Amino acid sequence: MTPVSFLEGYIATLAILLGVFLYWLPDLTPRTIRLGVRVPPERTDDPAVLRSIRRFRAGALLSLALALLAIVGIPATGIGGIADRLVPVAGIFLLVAGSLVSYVVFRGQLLHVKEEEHWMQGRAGMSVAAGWSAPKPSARHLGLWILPSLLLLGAVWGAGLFLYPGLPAEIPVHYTLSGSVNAWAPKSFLVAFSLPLVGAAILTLFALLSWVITRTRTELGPREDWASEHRRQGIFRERMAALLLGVAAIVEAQLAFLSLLLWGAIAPPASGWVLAVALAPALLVVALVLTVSVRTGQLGARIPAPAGPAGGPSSGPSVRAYGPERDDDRFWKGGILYYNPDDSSILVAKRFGVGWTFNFGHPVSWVALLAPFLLLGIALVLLAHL
Amino acid sequence: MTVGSETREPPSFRFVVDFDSPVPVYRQIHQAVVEGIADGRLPEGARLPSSRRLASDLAIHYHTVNKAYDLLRREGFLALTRRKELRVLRPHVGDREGFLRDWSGRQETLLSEALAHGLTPPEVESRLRELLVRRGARHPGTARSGA
Repeated sequence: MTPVSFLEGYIATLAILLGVFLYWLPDLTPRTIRLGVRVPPERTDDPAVLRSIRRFRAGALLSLALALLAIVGIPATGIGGIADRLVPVAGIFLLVAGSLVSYVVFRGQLLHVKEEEHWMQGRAGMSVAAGWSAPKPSARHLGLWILPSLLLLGAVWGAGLFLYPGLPAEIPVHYTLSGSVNAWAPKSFLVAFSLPLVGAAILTLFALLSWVITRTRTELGPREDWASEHRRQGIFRERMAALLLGVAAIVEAQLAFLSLLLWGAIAPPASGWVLAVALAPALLVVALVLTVSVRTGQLGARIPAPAGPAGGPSSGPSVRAYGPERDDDRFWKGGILYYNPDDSSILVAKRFGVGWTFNFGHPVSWVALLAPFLLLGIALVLLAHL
Repeated sequence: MTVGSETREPPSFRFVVDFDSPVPVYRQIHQAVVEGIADGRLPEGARLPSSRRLASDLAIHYHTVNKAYDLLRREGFLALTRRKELRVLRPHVGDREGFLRDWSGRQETLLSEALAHGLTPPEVESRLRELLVRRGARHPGTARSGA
């Protein structure tokens, strides 16, 4: 097996995972949001809704087919050279872009039907409801989830400080796919600890993000069983925070492995395994993210209503949340970008997908989006002057 | 889901905002709190969510919530504690004079509206009694005799 065909198989696997997820996506959002369109509870299975979803899915499958053709088919035609490496990545891009177009087009169609037939008209009491602050996820849980990453990071820094005096004057900084060193750099703290520094930055960012998402809003409608919905969305937020910290642990583990490799503390893996060791964590991350997303659903839409302490009717997974009964489609540009300057929230639940997106009507969103680039720029300027 | 015992949230009170209503959103929030205090769902000392929290939950601007809260504070229904928490108050007896003057004025407007629409005084009276009974029947314990 040549490395390139291994890479093809790997990217094809990623594409299939992603394609299955995209096909599934319409079933992962709350019931009153169908293909990114807010519909009244009695319209969730309207023929127009189902038709739009079928068409979106056909588009997603077509995109997947084209992507697989690009990934596995084109290099075999013998274009060769750099194209062999770029085409598989372009395949993933094709899948995402194709599905996105399919979503925008068929969502637009559904939106049109909804407006033509006045689905939301005459529904007095379009409202959003809010009670007291949602139950906060206990810091104890987040502390538990961040522990593996902290231990890994601490161990790497400890090992690094222990090994640093004994490191050679030249440190390897880059490996080829076959496992031999192809770049060296003179020994310095910054070079030796570049990966642990990146690890610390990533963990800080992920910890911050997981804290931020536990503070996002609970989306409630006036007809909701509030206690059960609060719990459901509380579980959703906590799972997403745990997922982020789980991903952080995988990233930290990989960085720890690479650091030890660069410091010569462990022998490089056999040449056939280099690629597997380099690529397995990413596949693990994708599989983890997709599994948790599918099992949880957007805003916990796929979590069976948790039984309340007060007893109440034992509500199964079929008992769905109504959600806010406000026609808020106009705030979703293309069904993807949320722009509502009157909304105080910076992060809002995605319309189509699992997780959160920025409110582009809030100035802080722009700061948060541009800050990483600004920091990177400052870091580069500082490094250049050192 | 442990909530501090002292700041336990009254589960029966919720804000519901109707975006299609001609009543401005800040007015709706104001009314919800006043009604909650009137019928006992918001007992004295109950904590209200911060304006940022409530605004975020309702997907509205926090200025809107601030406007409602400021009005409630001016009217003596809310107070900011030293820990910057909003707590429900029952307006003090001392405020009564000013309140009664203001309330009578608003009542005159409402009464004139009813009469202009052709309601007879007995009709107005029976409707008023009906409203009072409904509130009183729902919350018999809250009719507090002033000092």
